[in-house]
Amino acid sequence: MTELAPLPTVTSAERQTLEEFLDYFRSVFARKVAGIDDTQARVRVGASDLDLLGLARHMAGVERWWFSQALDGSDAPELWVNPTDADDADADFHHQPSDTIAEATAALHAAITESRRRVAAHASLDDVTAIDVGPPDNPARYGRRSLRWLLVHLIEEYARHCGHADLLRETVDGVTGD
Amino acid sequence: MTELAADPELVPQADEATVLHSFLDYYRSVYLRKAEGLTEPQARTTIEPSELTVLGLIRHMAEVERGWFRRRTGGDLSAGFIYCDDVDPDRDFHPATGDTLVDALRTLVAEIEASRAATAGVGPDDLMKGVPPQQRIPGWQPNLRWVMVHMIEEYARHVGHLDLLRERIDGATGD
Repeated sequence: MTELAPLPTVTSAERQTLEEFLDYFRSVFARKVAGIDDTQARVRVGASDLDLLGLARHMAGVERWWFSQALDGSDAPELWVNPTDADDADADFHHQPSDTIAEATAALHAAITESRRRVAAHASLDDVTAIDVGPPDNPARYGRRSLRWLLVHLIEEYARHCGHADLLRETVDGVTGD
Repeated sequence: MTELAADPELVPQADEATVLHSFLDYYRSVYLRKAEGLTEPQARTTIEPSELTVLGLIRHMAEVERGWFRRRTGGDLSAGFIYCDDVDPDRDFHPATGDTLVDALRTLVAEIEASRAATAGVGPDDLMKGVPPQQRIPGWQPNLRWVMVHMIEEYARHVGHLDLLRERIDGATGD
């Protein structure tokens, strides 16, 4: 079973607090997508087309995008490509019948390890991304993001998707909590 | 209709306090928007086996806002629990038959305003006041930084719940 990270310490400085919250939610998310089979990973709820397999693939791609490609300007390739539509920007969510949760979680854990290595190499939260980050039709719109901004964004993105995963996992096998 | 707060993407290189307030206010606005326009029966819809509802979630965050900000940050000891009590510490999630979404939303908006007043002039390193009875662990006093990050992730996670509830209710998605 994937270990739950320690609860974030409550009187720490900025960087330690942000890194501890991010690691905590990485571990909560990893637990939500652990211990399920490939059928369970495709269960949907309500009217949404989200499933745990798509979410696991998505967060692996999010890690690579923000910390490798944006922060450091790495030319690491996209993790997920839709074999029937090479331009599909949502190839992470549009998985194929042969895609597996094992492959997705392995990619997620590898991406997290890579992200931690890259973040540790930055001395300041004021360091900015190597590239402008904006919408596809206007990439320079918001300019470069600080590492501070990235860490807070990743915390809320993981947390929101943990909310999706909460309801999906409870539907799959009744498991709740962190 | 609640306006969506300014996107945090507009402050990509701001200082700590600005970034935290921006993300928190953004999620507060998303949260309120997820509940707007729903009928009372819609606000009680569930995705089984989960018991979460839009009404329960709206009530919950009003309680959370009051506990962390008006009471612990601002030190207003007159601000007790809104919904919860010793008999049912999760009564925020357990509305009675006559409780309404309209009232719950009005209460949450008021608590958010009180929270903004309580955090004005408080620095990230300042410690929460250890006010009884909500300091369940003696000596456990987070700083405002921890509280702000915690509130961002708590809103965000519950927005995830609201995303799936709202989509089931009427198909609406997004922020």
